[in-house]
Amino acid sequence: MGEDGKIDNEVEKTLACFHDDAPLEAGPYFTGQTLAKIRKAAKDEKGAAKKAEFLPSLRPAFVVLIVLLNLATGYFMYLRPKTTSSERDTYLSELSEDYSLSNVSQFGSMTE
Amino acid sequence: MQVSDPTFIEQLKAGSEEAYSVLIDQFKNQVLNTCYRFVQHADDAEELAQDVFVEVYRSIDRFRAESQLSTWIYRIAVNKSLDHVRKMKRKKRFAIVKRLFVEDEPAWEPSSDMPAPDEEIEQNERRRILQKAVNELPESQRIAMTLSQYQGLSHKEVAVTMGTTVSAVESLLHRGKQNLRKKLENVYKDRF
Repeated sequence: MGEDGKIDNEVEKTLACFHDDAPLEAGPYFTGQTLAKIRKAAKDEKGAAKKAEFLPSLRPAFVVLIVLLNLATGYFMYLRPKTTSSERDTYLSELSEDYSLSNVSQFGSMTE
Repeated sequence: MQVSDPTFIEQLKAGSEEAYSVLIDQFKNQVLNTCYRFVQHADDAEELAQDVFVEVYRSIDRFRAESQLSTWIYRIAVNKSLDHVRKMKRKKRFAIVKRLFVEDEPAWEPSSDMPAPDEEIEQNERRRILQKAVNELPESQRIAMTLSQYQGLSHKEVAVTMGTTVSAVESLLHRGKQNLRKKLENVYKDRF
């Protein structure tokens, strides 16, 4: 047989290996292990589903909280009645008396 | 309970453990061998085959009875196997880079406790050469050849599994066989 013949022969024998290879057999615990994995996947899915259900229900509460915070900030910044100068003087004199300070009223008037 | 029961899919969708047990028993060897043909490692193939059934559980709601359950499972097995092969290739590349910086570890060698007879050695060598040649084929040809030649699926089943037409599969198989023959001829030319 020539070289080409030998090569062809070997190629044919090699291609025939497609059909002569013994198939693998799954191990004896395959089904049990797979079912355990499926059970775990089911449990994980339920946990994820619960989370997914719970989190959106918190969304309105979160929005309400943000709105309230904004309103409170607005109130304190713009709407809250400002301390009048007479009130401020009263506070200053009370403070100066409490702490025995002499020139607080002067300091207070300097800041105005 | 049987896979062919008209209510079987409904029971799978309902999450019946008995139905999954039947499904696994029916398809485990086909799925295992499909995975093995791509990953070439028995333990990895078994792990992957189990993951295939978990994936079936997760996505059974998306299964439409337009295709057969078996071809749908084959498709999941092929996709999972290809993902695994890609991941392994990335790991291999990383290992090559790592080896440049770390001291050499002794290479793993298959145990040879029982010397095989000459004919068996030759046959094992042919199988190895064939598998290597198949692995070097373009991906679509490799999938078609693996499903058709190793798994014995019909052209129609291969087409459904790959999401293509029968004529496209025939063309892939024709080109695959030609490429394979060329690759094998080159291997043996170097040897003779």
